[in-house]
Amino acid sequence: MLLYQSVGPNPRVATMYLAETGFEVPRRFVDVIAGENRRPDYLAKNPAGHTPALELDDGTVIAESLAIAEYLDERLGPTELLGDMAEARAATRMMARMVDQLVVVPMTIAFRGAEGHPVFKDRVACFPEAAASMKSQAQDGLAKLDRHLGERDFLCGDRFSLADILLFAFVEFGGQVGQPTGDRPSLQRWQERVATRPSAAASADPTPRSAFARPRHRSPPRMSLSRDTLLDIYRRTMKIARFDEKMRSLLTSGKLAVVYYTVRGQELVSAAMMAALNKDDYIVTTYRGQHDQIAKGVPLDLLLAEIIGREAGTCKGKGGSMHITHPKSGVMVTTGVVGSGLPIANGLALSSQNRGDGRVTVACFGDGASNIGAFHEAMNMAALYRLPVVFFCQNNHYGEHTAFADHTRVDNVAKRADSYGMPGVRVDGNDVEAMYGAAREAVERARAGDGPTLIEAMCYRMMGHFFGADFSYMPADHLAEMKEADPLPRLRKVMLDHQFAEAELDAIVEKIDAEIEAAEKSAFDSPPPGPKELRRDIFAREIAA
Amino acid sequence: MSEITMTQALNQAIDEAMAADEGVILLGEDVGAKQGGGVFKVSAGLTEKYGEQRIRATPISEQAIVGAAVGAALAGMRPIAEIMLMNFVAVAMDQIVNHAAKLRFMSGGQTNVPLVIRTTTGVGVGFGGQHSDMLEAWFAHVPGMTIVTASNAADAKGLMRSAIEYDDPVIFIENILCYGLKSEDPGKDHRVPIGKAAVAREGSDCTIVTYGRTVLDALEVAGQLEGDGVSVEVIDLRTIAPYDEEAVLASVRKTGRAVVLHEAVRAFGTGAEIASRITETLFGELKAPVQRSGGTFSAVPMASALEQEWLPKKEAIAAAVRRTMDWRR
Repeated sequence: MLLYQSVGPNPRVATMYLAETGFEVPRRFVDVIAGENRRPDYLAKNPAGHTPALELDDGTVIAESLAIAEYLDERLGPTELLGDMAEARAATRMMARMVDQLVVVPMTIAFRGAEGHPVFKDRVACFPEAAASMKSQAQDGLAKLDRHLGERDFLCGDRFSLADILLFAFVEFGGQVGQPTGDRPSLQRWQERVATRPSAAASADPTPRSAFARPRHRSPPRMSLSRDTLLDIYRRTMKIARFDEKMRSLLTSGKLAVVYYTVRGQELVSAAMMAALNKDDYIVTTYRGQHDQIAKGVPLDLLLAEIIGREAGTCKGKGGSMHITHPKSGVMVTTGVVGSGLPIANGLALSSQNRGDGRVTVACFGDGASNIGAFHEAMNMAALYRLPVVFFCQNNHYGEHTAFADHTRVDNVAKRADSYGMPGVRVDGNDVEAMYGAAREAVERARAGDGPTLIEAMCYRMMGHFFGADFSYMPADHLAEMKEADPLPRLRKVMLDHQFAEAELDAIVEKIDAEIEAAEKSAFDSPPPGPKELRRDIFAREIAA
Repeated sequence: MSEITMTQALNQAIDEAMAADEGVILLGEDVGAKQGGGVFKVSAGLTEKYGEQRIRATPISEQAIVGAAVGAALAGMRPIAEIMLMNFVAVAMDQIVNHAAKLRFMSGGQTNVPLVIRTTTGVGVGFGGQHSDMLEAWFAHVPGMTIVTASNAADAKGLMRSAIEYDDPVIFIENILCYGLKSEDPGKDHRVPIGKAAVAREGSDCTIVTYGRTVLDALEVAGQLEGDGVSVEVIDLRTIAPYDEEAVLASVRKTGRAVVLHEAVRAFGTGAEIASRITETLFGELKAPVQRSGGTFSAVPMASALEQEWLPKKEAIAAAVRRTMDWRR
């Protein structure tokens, strides 16, 4: 079986049903905003073009969320959601039918004629002239259900049923598209009750519903990855992880005393992003950027020598970890000033646009940078000129020592893209398929001349702001969540699921470790830069002594 | 002989550079044809010739303008970023000071930033405290920055061309009051080397070291003093930083007296550095302490009479020269 899913209230009925029952059904995400459900391959499966749709192993396709849920309940259940006795099932079907007639139908017609009109007008029959009266009809329906609920916990009394799932999906949807529940106490109490169920959060759309009103706002595409791509990402990830571990051990042992911003927890986001780039594409990154530099291909010996301040370093020891530059790998600037890389990325991209060299520039930054002026100036300019740039926000939940919610009122960086006129994508950065899918799509879009994308890759900074810094301010539930999300075991599992052998993966890490050992030796063997370097590289010509 | 204004000189220099090198682009507020070719018309006619991809009218976003120019320069282009008025560089300071100026050094010479930031300013037009300042000292203090300004149209043309071809970031300061100044057209492909001062007037008793619009004041004062039997040499630095120390010291060695003059606020101005270097190097040969003349230590006022009072007046410049002449140990 394969469940075709998308954003929207009907698909939510199916996902909420699955979350309630725990039934595991493989899913494929269909990007309805982009019109993927109107393409021939999808229409061949489901001529109505609706999501969700359930494809059975024999090729049969079941459409319509209630039919899917009932089918699954009969195949894999029964569960209380439909009911185990004929009377209970009849009660569920009666209430579901009422919800459908009273609320779902008028609300949907109203939505397609009003808030959803820009998206739906070229896809299905829309009736803008009927929108207002359909909205009031949906409100009448909600009033009837409010009266029906009265003191009941759920539509079928004390049993939570499929009818509640259907109503909940649409009541929540309505609240986000200009059809709020209004002052209906029983319905509101019921809604709050249902909202506390884990299945409510688990089935919420990855992007806010405003996506419908603003069609440029996109949901992340998942991408099934080839073995070569997976292996490539695995290599980059482990190179970052092992290098970071080496850095931490050098610092802990006292062999080294430099400021170092560990990238523990952000290995995979960067590996997947850079795997979507070409060698000659540009990146600009920040002081916490060793993962980006390694993933983009800066040789480890030059990198380590630079971090420890030696002549053999990428920048002759004059830049350090906060200013790694290596144009041969496309690493053009590493800045120590939060947000400053974004305007510069625009300039690199502008050069590519003028020259037609086909290069893409990626600007790497953290969630903290999303509140500095340079971010806003750069996003606007990039969208204005349709520059081939990808704004890659690695949202690690903390700007220095301040949690995201304590520095930003909105809950999401990606949605800011709407206000600049570019797509914004929020993605679980530690989900390799989602992360690589988002990266590939943004890079291809930029390369095709279709302009910038803002990717918000959710990840965790698994240590303090700089290595050795206290991070006891992180709450326990955040630490637990972070541990759960650790990209390294997660990626390892994906690799094993894809039939890579343990031995093969271990051999890759061994090879990386050997490279790091060699880099360590050559870096520490290199002398520090001499005093002449103070007169060099200030201007093209050396300054006289 | 045909004459050109400073506006035409700048326009021609940019035009010639754009024709010679595809990598030369101009970014700035209102610089395009749709906006009339710049507030002071320096880029008039360029969009028609080179298109909107090379003449980029930008949003009012100074950080984004300079940042984009830095990025394009890193990729090997030769961008000219226009910051409409010099006070607005404050908005772009991070990009200029932390990035443009330092990237060559911090990258160990792997990258460089061949960027020109054109900006205009000037006291005497009643624009008040946020549209008039000369802020060259801010940048002169930053290793890696080069600052130039012209006192006449011919130099403006030659300096602009050289600045565009220069491999490091250059701030090109224009003065609103000088746009109409006319010079004999120096012709096509004229260049004035970066880092070279000019002797604007020869003299033997006292050297006035200055740059930009105050060169005109210095020349006028020199003319007046000549009648009193004082022979003043005027050095026009043209490149403010790093300045042509050799030319300054050679002149002061000859005259034994020096006045450093600039429109910018005198306190902590570039004049302090230059006066100090003259004193450190030529103390034994100086016939008098080096004098300084510059703007008043206040914000630039709007009211015309007060604004004129704010400037280093010609009487004050002449008085500074006389102090060096009258000095007795």
